[in-house]
Amino acid sequence: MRTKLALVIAGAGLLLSAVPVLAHHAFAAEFDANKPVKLRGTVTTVEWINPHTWIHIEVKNPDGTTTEWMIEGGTPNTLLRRGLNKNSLPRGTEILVDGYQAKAGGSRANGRDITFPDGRKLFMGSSGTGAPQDGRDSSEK
Amino acid sequence: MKHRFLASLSILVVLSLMSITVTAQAPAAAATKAGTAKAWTPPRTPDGQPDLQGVWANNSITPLERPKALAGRALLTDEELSVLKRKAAELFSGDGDAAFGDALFETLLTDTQKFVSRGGQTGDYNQFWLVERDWDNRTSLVTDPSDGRIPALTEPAQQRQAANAGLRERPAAGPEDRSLSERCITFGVPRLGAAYNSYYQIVQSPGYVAITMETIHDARIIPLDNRPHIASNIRQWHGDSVGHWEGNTLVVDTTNYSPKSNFRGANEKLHIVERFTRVGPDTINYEVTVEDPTVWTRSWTAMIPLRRSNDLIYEYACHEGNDGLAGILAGARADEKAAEEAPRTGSSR
Repeated sequence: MRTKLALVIAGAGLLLSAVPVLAHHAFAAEFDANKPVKLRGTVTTVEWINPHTWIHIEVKNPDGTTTEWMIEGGTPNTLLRRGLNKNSLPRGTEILVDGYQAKAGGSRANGRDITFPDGRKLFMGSSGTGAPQDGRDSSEK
Repeated sequence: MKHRFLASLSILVVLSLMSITVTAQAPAAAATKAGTAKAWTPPRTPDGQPDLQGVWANNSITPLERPKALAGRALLTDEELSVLKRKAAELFSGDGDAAFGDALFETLLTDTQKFVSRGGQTGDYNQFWLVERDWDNRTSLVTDPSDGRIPALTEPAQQRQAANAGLRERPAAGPEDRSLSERCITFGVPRLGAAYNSYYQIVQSPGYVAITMETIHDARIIPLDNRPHIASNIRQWHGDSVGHWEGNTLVVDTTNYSPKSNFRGANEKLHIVERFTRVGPDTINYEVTVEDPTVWTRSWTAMIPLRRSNDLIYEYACHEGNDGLAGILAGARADEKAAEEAPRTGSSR
């Protein structure tokens, strides 16, 4: 059995391309792969709404002005089930966002990766693995 | 495949996600083979119905269809299951893309080091937007046909699917070009998708069973008095459901779906029979038989183990004018504008 599964795992590399890897298609429709953004800002508001949570952050621009960005996330129902609530991201909390800007432009992006300045992942409580292809580099596939 | 995605969207919602941690849950013996369910006697409601009440979750990691790599095998060995769980823990340690639907399980069977969703270019939900998955050693939710795969489509259905292929890729002209779930209309009945607000609350009272679906705050009120279905010219998003008890199994028969409904490409001729059997204190075996002779060449059945949850149902309040959909339509307009401007300015995106 072990051998069989090993064969399955080894031989299934081809499988991946044949498999319709389902994705949140809406993200591809809404956000632009050619417009990656890296933002650092402080939380002003969190909208706990469906279908998408929106985390609003105030970002300081190099010229000293600030811009409010809306960062789109997933459903708040899951965050609640993970033990988080409306007090988990208090106003003023600093977060780092890796994502992609909306196709329509403006200060809206999806929150692909959200971390605290010390490297802790948002909601995960531990630092990133640091392993290769850990999701940080969007050019890695 | 697009239809499967569409259906998955409406039934499972776009995605099942997760930061997979290995749960301590042992596979429910009752969930593994049909016919070997322990003869557990459920308690009764005051009016004598077997008690199905509570909040139940479908966070099953088992794919709907048996992966081709596992053809002929209905169950994994315990050892194989451990290998997959370990791989999942590595792959989904919190930084991978959220994985929806069968893709999750199938990815675990491959050599890939990191899960990248099809929308990988623009990212996806991160794992933390998902809940822990429920593991057992079944290789498919589909139990009939015995190969664990959904039967072939009829010729007309194949043609419809081919005609619709690529529609979803085109810029949406309006909300009607997007799925019913993105429009916050419905995630469909039945909903086979797991791990994305896939929670149900069952309440029973004399003569009725009510099932509240977290997505999208729909309550199915199912009468148990053997009444006939509503007239065939009356059509509803979730069809018309009537139920009755067969021993300890609640049988719910649903017809009268609207032509606007969409269960994996089926609507008006769709006939669904659901069977709910509580096989233990914390498990309901939820069996769904699907029939639509205009879509599939034969009927098929899937079984999903629903596990008791200590959570509440949290309102999944959304509406068609939601920000996500507005963003999608704005993105479509931006794409069109860019396409128009490219030839004029000589630049490309």
